[in-house]
Amino acid sequence: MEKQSNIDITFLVIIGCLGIVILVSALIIFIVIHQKRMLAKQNEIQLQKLNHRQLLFEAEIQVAEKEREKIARNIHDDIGSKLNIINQNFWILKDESNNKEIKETVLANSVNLLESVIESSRTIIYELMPPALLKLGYLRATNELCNLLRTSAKIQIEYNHVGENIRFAPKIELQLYRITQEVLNNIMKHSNVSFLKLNIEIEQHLVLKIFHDGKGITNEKVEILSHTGNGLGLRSIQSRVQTLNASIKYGEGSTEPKITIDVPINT
Amino acid sequence: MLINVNLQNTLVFWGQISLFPPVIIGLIRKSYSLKLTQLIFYLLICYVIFESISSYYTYNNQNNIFIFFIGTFVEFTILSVFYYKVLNSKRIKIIIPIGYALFMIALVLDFQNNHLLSFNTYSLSIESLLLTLYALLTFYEILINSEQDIFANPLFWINSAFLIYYSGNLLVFLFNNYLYQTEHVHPKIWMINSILNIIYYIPISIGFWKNKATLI
Repeated sequence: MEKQSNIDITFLVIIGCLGIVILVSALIIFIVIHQKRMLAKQNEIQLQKLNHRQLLFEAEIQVAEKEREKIARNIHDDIGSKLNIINQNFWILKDESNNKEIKETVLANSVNLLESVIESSRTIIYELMPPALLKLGYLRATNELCNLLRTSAKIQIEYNHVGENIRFAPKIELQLYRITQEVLNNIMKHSNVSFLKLNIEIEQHLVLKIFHDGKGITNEKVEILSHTGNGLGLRSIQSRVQTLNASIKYGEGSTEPKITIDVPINT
Repeated sequence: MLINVNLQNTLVFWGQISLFPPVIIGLIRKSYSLKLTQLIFYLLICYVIFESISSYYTYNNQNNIFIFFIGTFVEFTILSVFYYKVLNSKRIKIIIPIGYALFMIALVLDFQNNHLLSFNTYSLSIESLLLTLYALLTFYEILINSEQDIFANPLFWINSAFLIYYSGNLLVFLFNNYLYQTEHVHPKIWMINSILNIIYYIPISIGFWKNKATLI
């Protein structure tokens, strides 16, 4: 009887030990599978982030290249051609120095052309770096940008600013201005607006809210577009927003802001 | 019965032989010079010493139980220090000194009950339970913190060895003294210990091989 009981216990102990070893081995296998999956997921996220960063970096370079192209074209087509004509005018003046009538016409033409050259160079300088931004800061420069759009795009624009009229570091002001410029450009190009309201609130953060009566866009659509070849402007905005450690939110609703940009002030 | 005894002797023999691969790999990979495998390497050297003394006493038909007492004490002390260094969380680390105190109480109780005449079942059981717990906690930390492939982490292999060995042996140690009284049962139970002994050294060998000064 006792022998039988001992054999039972032996059997139970052996089965118990085996059971524990199997359970522990299963646990180790589970840990391995879980860790491998976690690692694969982490790598995937890392790769996605890297690709996204690469896209933003490329967008930045492309935008800069496009800007250079535009400036070169403006100088060549506008200023360059006008200066050529002025140069020719001087040759005419030299050759026809005795003909008073021609002399006066050519001189008047040259003066007009020179004024036009000065105007063109002012426009280019403004596009490169708006003087108001350097002298008066982001808030005043944005106000001036609204005034310019009001006359050139012939739409109703409202500009409101709540909070202190403070200046930020030049680098931040430039990034903020470029973001605003690009966002407004996109709205003019794609949203078909007749009314636009720009609200800037400054407290702990600078919050720029843009309302308009045109077509909005969702965050999801922006995400898709910024990964396609046509989303260069959007990628450029995103890259600048990231540089400022800020956030940008898009919306389609009629009462909500179509675009909200939130910038921490202490950046 | 004869087959069982032969099988048991073979398993015990292979259990002793399997101690050599990790020692040799440890020597080749210089595990003794690396901060944390150093302790495991010294533990293996202690095993070699204890196995030699124990075999000598068995050969001369003398009681070698006291080796188990000393062996358990040395083993648990080294492994407690090992896990104290391996575990990162200060909250988890508190368990180790508490566990050590519990183990010492069990060791004293064993000594008072047995007077070195039978196995130190309390301290062996407490040791197995605590080391299983430490190994599980270490896995928890590996799972949370690890950013590298788990198979490349030597700690994974070493910890797996401890987890399988001590959890598998828990019941053997618990029932050891009770089953020791009946001779025909005892060898069968100890066969489990011998099999686990052989398994124990395989992941340790892999851990030593994988270790390239990146254990922590």
